[in-house]
Amino acid sequence: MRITVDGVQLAARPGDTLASALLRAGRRVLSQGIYTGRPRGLVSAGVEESNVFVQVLSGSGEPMVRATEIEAYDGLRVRTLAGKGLLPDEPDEARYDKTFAHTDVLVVGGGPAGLMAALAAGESGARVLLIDDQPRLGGRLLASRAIVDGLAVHDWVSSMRDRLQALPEVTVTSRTAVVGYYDHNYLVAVERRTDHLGSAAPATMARHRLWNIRAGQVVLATGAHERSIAFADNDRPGIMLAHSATAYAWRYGCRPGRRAVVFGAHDGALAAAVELADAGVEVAAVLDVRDVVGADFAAALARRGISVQTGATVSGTLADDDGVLRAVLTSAGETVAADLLAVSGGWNPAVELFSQSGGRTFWSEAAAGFVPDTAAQPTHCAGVLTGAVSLARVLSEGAGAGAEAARAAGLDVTEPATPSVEGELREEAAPAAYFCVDSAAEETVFVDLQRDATLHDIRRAVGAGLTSVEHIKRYTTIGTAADQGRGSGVLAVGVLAQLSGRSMAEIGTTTYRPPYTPISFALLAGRDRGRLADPERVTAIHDWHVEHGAVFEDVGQWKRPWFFPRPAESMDEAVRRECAAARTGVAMMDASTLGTIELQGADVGLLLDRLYTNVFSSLKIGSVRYGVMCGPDGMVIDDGTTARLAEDRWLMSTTTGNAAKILEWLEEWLQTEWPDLDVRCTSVTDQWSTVVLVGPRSRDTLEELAPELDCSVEGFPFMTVRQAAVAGIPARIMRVSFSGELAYEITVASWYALAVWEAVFAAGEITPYGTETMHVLRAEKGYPIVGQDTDGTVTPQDLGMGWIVSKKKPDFVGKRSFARADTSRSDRRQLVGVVPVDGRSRVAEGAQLVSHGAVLTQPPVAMHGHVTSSYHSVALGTPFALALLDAGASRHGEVLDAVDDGHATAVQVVSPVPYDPDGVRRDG
Amino acid sequence: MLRIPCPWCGPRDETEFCYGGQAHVPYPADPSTVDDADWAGYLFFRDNPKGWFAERWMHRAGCQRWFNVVRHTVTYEISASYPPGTSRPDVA
Amino acid sequence: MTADPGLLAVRRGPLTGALAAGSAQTVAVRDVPGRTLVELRVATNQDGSGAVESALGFDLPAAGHTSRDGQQLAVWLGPGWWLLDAPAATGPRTLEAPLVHRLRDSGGELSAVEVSAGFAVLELSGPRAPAVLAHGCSIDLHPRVFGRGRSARTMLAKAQVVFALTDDAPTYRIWVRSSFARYLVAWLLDAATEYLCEDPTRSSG
Repeated sequence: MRITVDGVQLAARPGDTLASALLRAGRRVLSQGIYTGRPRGLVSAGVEESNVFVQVLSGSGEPMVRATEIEAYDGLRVRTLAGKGLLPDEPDEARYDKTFAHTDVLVVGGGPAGLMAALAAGESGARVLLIDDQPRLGGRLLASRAIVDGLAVHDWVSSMRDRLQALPEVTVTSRTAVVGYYDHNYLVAVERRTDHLGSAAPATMARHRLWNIRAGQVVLATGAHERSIAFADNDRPGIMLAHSATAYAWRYGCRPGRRAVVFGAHDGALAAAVELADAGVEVAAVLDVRDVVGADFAAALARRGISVQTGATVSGTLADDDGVLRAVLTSAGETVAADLLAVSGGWNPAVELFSQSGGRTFWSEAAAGFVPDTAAQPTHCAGVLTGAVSLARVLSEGAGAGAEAARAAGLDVTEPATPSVEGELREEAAPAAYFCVDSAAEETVFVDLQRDATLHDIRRAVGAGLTSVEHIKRYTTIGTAADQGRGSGVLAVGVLAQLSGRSMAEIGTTTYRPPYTPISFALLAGRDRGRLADPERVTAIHDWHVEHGAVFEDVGQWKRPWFFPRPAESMDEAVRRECAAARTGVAMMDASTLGTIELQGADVGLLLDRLYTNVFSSLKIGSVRYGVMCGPDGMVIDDGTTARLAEDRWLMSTTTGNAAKILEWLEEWLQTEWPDLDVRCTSVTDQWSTVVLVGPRSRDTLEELAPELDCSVEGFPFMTVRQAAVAGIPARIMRVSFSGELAYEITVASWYALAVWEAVFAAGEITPYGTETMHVLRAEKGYPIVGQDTDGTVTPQDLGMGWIVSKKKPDFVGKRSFARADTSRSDRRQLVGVVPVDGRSRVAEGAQLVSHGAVLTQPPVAMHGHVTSSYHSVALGTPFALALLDAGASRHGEVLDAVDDGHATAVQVVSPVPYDPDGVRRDG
Repeated sequence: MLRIPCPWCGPRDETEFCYGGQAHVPYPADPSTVDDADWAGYLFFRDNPKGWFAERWMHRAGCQRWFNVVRHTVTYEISASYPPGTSRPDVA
Repeated sequence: MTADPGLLAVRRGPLTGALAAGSAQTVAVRDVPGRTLVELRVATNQDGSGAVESALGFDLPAAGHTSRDGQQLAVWLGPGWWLLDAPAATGPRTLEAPLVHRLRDSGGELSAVEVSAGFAVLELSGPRAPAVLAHGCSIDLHPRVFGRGRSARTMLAKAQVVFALTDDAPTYRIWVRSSFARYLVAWLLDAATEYLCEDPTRSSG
């Protein structure tokens, strides 16, 4: 395989990561300090990498990824980065999707503990999901030479995979990282599905998948991250975590160096020295900060001719001309030539997910790490995460946790036998909690490599009086880089403990927050992009509107025709033409989006009396009434008409945007306060489609389409409802008007909406109009739109609709609040009309109303109100707006300034009903 | 994301529900007899305890029923879920 | 009685002519047009369903379930609340289907509201159907939990739906409000992209 790094071709082997291929190719300097510019190289072999990030150029690309987490494939192209990622210029065309998953037991981590947990739970018959972030199961076992159940680790892992795959309810998902652990055992994972396939990735296959997992029980077998030790010049290429160095040697088959110094604070570091020696690396020195080390390890090293210097530390390092490690300075004053310094300060159990779940951690002296304490959710921890060290214990803890989880999920469990382990050295000497070798050159003692933050920075923070680790994190930025403190968090706590003389337990850790590893916005969006970003609700007539050139407006999720421009016609021209047709001829609109609720039952009238401000129970069958609803606080929440179709059947219409809200409002009162009322509600918004026929000549059109219907003023009076065939289609026709003109709402089952619409359109010179014209027509009549001319602080009285508030009813929702001092104020904002004094200027919606001539440059400028709706009125021949104005009802005639973006327009306050105030036009 | 037990549909994701604030705050039988201070209390004031709290939820995406839940406001643990009109169970 | 030919000729469902995709070997989506749909609600504070069940000729299902009698299906929507899905109505068409009148005349304290044109009825079937649903549905669809005869009212992607498992193909019948139908179909076809391209002769993994 060939890969390209910064334009240079390199060879890679199957199974390589980008990092292992770079290391094999001898590439040492791969990055630089973001602030210091110092040369940097690989420090790890996994997710804890904090130095080497690259931008992936091939495939779908990716702005910033750890080199240790990229699987090499033929044709991989990357560019190394100096600390900061680069956003691509091109939109990301790859597919990203999401899925939901449910499981009895979720096992996080496919290392030895996770494999045993999945097997124990899976054999009980539980549904098990095992998630592992690596391409291959096995975790750190893959770099081990232990013999498990008589098998080499690779063979044992394969046998475990086969056993798991034979269980039908067990799912194993690799290349998948759990990034968040939320409430009620809800976890989120990211699966990388095609990145490793390179150009062989199918275009139809989602590149990454977001898993939304709801688990009955969770087993965390997340392992541990190796912790470094800080010392002078500890950032040189060639200085690497000890077990990452052995992983490169044993898992990837590339030698991390020729001559090594190993520096550690626990027996695990000595084990790494053995592994390196056996991999053919010359181990020049082993330094251990402890006075007592594990005898097994010392003996194993001695057999290889290597002695351990106890009580020894690294006091500094030397670099060659490229900045790469060439020698290690020891506390004994030696200078040891080396191109690899393998460091291991101990293990940080990977408690991030446990901590996210709400679980608390404590500092374990025995493990020299923060380990899980009590779980806050149904969570079971196993393996290295708990501080376990020996493989035998890790395996048995895994089996135990899996069995415990399956039992908690209600299954009968027979715990599988713990596999035997051979060839593992026994760790017997206690680890040291050792973090930092003090040095005068403290500005080169790096604690957070990615942030270039040092011992000096922490000392300065402490000197500034900061004691909390959370404050020190923010002051020094330690732990805030892309690795989110995996490499630096506990180290910083340790350094702080050393500096302040406090204990690790006393200081504690910073809070771990999701995501554990970065997650892309593209993945969060998933398939909810473009036309799937949000549902586009359309009426049954929608295609006709499209074919006839409608420009659409979004009203909630609905697509509604805004206006129907003719060729070369501007919006203003189209709206003027549509308004003129409605006022002088006949026009039609698709009103199918209005919310419609059918109410049935003996007590509907009673319910409406309680929820509307006016009386409904007296409504005659076949009649329609307009009503306003208020909240208990007396503020208007909706308006609309309700028809009584039969003694116990009613049809309520709501504003387009409020349909669901009002149905919920009715249900809330019925379910929680008045369950004894005989009322049942059904949403029929989608069942029915409505064509509004408007204009002085609309009666002629209807007579033609519905010859059986008596359309005379007497035979079909205002605010009544009829049933008749319209163009041969069964229809319900209501005589209501939202424009002041003679108008009919023709309602049919949506199956026939297009047929009726087309029949109406074909019946003569009928102008289709959209929502803008509807708004102009209603504004000219002073009909407010709830949510546009009201904002939740407006009473019916404020709208000049005191007439609709019943004085007779003992109670209705909102009534009591009309007796509150605030709602009784005479200086409340009230609905008015405003017209420009110059007769030409249209004011902006949202413009503030201030005193005429107020000096805008001398704040404060008193606000008297604001414009809520503004249009050019064809009927009046001037622009016209509705506004909410302090004490507006008593200020008609007054001149004010409407201010928008610093520009003032003189306006006169007028009645909000400038057109046909006596309502003579509604009968045609 | 919470997993909320709907008394009728069983446990569903929180995104299927809408929140209705404190439970057991009935609409006064005769608001006209309630003085201004008590009416303001009904309209605007609710408890906000640290700990167990009886609150209303509505299963908007499902059966569209209101019900009450006893939830711990620190741990988010849910100890009971019961229909409106029934009294708060003696848990937690 | 026969269907009114004049009305049938102009009837147009929310997905008329828009849908027939997939292969039954992996996953298929199809429109089921023309069904008679009725939302039935009975008072929840009393047992009002007995009269309805005799008018209907079969028992109404319990929470989270469906019941059926031949071509008629009843789906639980909520306490005292069902969706009836019956074959297309025949006879002269009025504003409401005859089934609505029959139920209303059954004598129970109930409401019966026709919603035939208010919903699109879809069928999603094939071995990959559960995987397609799981891309946008947070309900557990495992056969142990959601077997044949189960139903749920929930969110599918960003649309509120009702769906039921009607056979072991498996086939899910999905009811979605008409105005959301095109969105949902676009979403389903998009979610099925990977599976529609699969070779059914190979392992379904």
